[in-house]
Amino acid sequence: MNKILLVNIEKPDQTTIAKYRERGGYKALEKALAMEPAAIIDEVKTSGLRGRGGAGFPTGMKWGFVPRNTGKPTYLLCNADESEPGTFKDRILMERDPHLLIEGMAIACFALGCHLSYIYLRGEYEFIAHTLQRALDEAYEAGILGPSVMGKDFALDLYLHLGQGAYICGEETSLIESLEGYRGYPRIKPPFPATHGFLASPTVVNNVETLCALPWIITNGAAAHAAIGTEKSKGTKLFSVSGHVNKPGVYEVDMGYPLLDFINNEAGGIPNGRMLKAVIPGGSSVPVLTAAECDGVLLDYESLLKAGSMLGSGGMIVLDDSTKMPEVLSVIADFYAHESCGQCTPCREGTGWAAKILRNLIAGKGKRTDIDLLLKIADMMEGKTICPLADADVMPIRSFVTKFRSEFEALSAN
Amino acid sequence: MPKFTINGIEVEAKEGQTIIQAAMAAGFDIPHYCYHPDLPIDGNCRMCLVEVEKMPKLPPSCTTVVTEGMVVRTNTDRVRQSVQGVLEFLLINHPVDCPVCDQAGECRLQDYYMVYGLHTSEIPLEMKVRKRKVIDLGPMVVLDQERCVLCSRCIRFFDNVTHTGEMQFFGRGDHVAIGTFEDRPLDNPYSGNVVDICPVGALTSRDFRFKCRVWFLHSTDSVCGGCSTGCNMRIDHRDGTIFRLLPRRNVEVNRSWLCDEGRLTYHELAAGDRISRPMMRGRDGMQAPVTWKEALASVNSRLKEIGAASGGNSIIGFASPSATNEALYLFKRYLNEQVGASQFEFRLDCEDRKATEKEDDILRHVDKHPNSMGAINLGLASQELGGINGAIEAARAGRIKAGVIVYYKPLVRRPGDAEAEARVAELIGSLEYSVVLAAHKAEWQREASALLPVTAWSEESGTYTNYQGRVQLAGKAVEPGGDILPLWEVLASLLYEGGDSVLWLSPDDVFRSMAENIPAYRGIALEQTRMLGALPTA
Amino acid sequence: MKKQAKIVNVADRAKKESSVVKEVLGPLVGMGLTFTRMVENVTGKVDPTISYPEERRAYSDRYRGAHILTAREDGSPRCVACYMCATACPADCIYIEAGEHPDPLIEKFPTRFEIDMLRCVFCGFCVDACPEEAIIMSRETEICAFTREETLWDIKTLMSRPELPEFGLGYRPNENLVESRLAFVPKDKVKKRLAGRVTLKEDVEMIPHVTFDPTAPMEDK
Repeated sequence: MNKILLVNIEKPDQTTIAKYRERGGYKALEKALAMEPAAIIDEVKTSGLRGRGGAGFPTGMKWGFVPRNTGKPTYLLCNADESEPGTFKDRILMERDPHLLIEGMAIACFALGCHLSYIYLRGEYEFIAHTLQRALDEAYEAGILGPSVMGKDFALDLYLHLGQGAYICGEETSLIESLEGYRGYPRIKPPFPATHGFLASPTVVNNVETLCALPWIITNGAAAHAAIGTEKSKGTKLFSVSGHVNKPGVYEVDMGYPLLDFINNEAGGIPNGRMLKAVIPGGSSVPVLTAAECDGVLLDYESLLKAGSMLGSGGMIVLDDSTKMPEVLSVIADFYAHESCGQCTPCREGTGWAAKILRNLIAGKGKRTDIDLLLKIADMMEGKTICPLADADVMPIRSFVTKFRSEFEALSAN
Repeated sequence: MPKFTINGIEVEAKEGQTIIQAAMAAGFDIPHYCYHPDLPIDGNCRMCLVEVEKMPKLPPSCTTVVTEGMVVRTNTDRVRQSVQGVLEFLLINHPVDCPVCDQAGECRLQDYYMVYGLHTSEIPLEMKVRKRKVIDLGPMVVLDQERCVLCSRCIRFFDNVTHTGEMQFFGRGDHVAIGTFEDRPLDNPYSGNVVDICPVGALTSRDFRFKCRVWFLHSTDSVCGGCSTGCNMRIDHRDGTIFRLLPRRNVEVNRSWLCDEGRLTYHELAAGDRISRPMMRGRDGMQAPVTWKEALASVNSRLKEIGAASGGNSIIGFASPSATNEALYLFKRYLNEQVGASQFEFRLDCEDRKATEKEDDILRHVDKHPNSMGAINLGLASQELGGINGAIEAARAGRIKAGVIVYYKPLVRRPGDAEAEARVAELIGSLEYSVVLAAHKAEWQREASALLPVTAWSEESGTYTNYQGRVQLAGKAVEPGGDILPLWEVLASLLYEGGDSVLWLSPDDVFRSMAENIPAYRGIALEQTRMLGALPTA
Repeated sequence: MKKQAKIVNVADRAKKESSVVKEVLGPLVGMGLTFTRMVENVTGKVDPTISYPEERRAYSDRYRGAHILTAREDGSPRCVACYMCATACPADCIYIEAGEHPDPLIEKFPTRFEIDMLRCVFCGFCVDACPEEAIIMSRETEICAFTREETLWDIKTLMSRPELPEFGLGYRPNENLVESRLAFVPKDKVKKRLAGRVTLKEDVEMIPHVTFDPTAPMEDK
């Protein structure tokens, strides 16, 4: 099993720059600064690194879309607004190894020719803000950030911006809106952020985990990274496991690791001798997999898609056979109803309506027609909104209701 | 100029137009809430989704730019289901209090429900999200958050048109509501527009509140009489009473907007007593009612007498910049051709300069008369007199003996009004013989030798020339009570009385004659003045 | 979802349902009823003539008499001044002026609500149009007045008039009022309903009415 991201995570003093450098930190940045920016982008392209935020878009390709010589500055924004229920992988990276993120961002900025960059941190992660800010201050003091990065003719300012507690601001365009000082509403695409993003300038938004993988790729080479994982999903992935497992937490595994092995070995199996009932493999917004469907599924983008779910952000929620599925769905639906920004009609009204129907069902006040109504609402919401939040609500609703219909019917029968 | 097909019909779009713009220009109706032609595009209501070939999802037609060869369909089952779905979503938390809602009858929710919905609500009453009702937002607007479809038109209006940004969304998810910070009243002079652009009953008019149900109203296209901007408007009236004034879209003049003062001019029109019949000053020095026949005959003969005795220079025609072009044209024609008068003036307070002076950056102009430019075009400004003060001076000096004065009170009040009225009184006081044509009663009219009641704005049809020189037609909406005649008709009768052989039957006849004889209006057809107004061709 | 209208072919149905028994027996049954009525009338079992106004017939529950405005719990009119009745009225006899209600949940109420009883054609469209069960009809028929002004009934008269309790409720959307109540106390009595038949003399409700004595001195109003 390869370790790319969590190499030094167990070491308690890793947050200081001295210890980070002692363990080989900022060597990758030094190496990168000696390279041509275009060469770094090529390196990332050949490494096969894909966006770890959820969509899995190849990072090198994303960088390639940024137009050069537009006369406008280019911005790199680090999406640290990790709010998906069940996901807490970025938290551990920022909390335990903040300099890794700073180094990754510095490399990305150099490759993109970006001189101003922001970390958009989730509002509820205020306690991490202190760690991150201290790390940033240290980096400035050490000359890693500032007018001359590591003595080279390259200026880089890196700022930390704390969000105000809105899930929607994890969506890249609303993150940009929020950072600009507006209400966090997703923008209509096109134009895409690559050309008209932050302050109408070319912008790249990358996830914390993606950026943290960069130093390793620069140090060890793209080929080494591409050698890990499956044919199309390269490298390692962090999974934050929660739910009915003996050892919940964040684990780094190679792409293509079998799902059931992961639950039984890394996560320590299911407690109290219970049986596996279902797994939500990639955060609350992906379709649920039943125990039977989990057989032979590998943890990579393609295999999970084939199984009818998605890798998402790697926020795995394991549910054993004591779980009442309607209640799980109700919690998820409540979350989306609470976090819908309210811009597009279908999402604003649909998420709230679905959540109310589910609450009613659980309270034993539901009707039999409510189950079909839920599916109808899902149809009415899907694919009709600016951002994918409505779809993120549709996927659990549809998968829970179709795969565990009998449980919902039992509730509505009373 | 990209060509694309919509429902199988090939349509040509302008460069950069979105589907909804091109479709609406071609006469296709795409349901929408948030799209408004004069506001920036937002794309949040999701009503206007259409099917476009080679696009997997249904794109919103308001944000999707037309490209060459695009194939758009608005009539497929998929589109219909999508519209139905969005409409159902919009209605689940709507209070459906149409009986007490002033928007009923012109509400987009009602309209689209009848076309696309007709479904039975599947949400029980107690499940609906309740929000605040009857929130007082200043002198023009009442807000009901429950009825809102959150299209953000009002927010975009204040952000992009007035640049004051009073309104914003509050809350999240299905609890989002529009409002102002701490319910502060909307105090900008254009706040009434949000009532018009609100597609539903969320923002309703404080002024029109509960006055009348909209289906009882009749509409007449008109032009605002409040200032020299000449905003296009619609007069909504019933049984001879005006209930409200609404903007009519004219991209060249006022886009879709109207200022609050212009919107409320009908109150000023209705305020105060009207002169209800012609009056003549008798031998005893008191005014007494007479018939129109007597009045016209007397005025005509007396003016001709003075003209013959003292010459044309001794008679002044003092016109009003609030009168229609037709009336002013006949005014000059009568006094010039029949009486021989050569002195004409209309300026109470430098209207010729103020007509093009802006009061703010949006619509309003400083000159509060609708037709100052028309009066200038018709040659009613005298170089010699240079305004009313010159006329008063000449009258005091005895150079001017008689005058015909048209006076309308301004429909939008400004501090200088009383002063201007005092000057008119002074002019009358220094004349030997004065004929006053006016609509509203005033103290100074007692001095007049003859007082003739004429119709005011909205009571007669005629054209006004705005600050750009655009000639625009204002229709007749209501009938005045009493023995009141339109100004053009009074002057046409005087012309006939004086011996002019032309028979004027309607203001249209007058306009045609004017278009032949007045250089500024040469070649303008009456039809052109109706929709966008006509600019002089020269 | 949208309901499709069921199309019934009347001609087909008539053909389908006709039978020899029906064609022959039908007229006989009708003639039998006529004969029974004749016997009842001749023998005096039923008296078709009554002495109006001392005797009255009981009208049907759907009788369209003078209007009633119903009330809320607190006795204020239930009407929300939506003008639906005025819009539906073919005689144009309803005049409403609306005002702002202090309760934002009610929002609108009539400051004036007048029905010109001389113009009214008692079609009941106003009752059909009302979304609030605010206007219903009574079985009151005798609308007499000395002046035209008196026939212009205002809110107070429409909600409660002294003679109203004597008459029952007439045309209304629900037999027992669901949303609203009455501003007067109706007389509590069980009526024998004989739809389509003449009421027996003994069952006739006596409604006291004002008799006009021309010899009595006129009271100054």
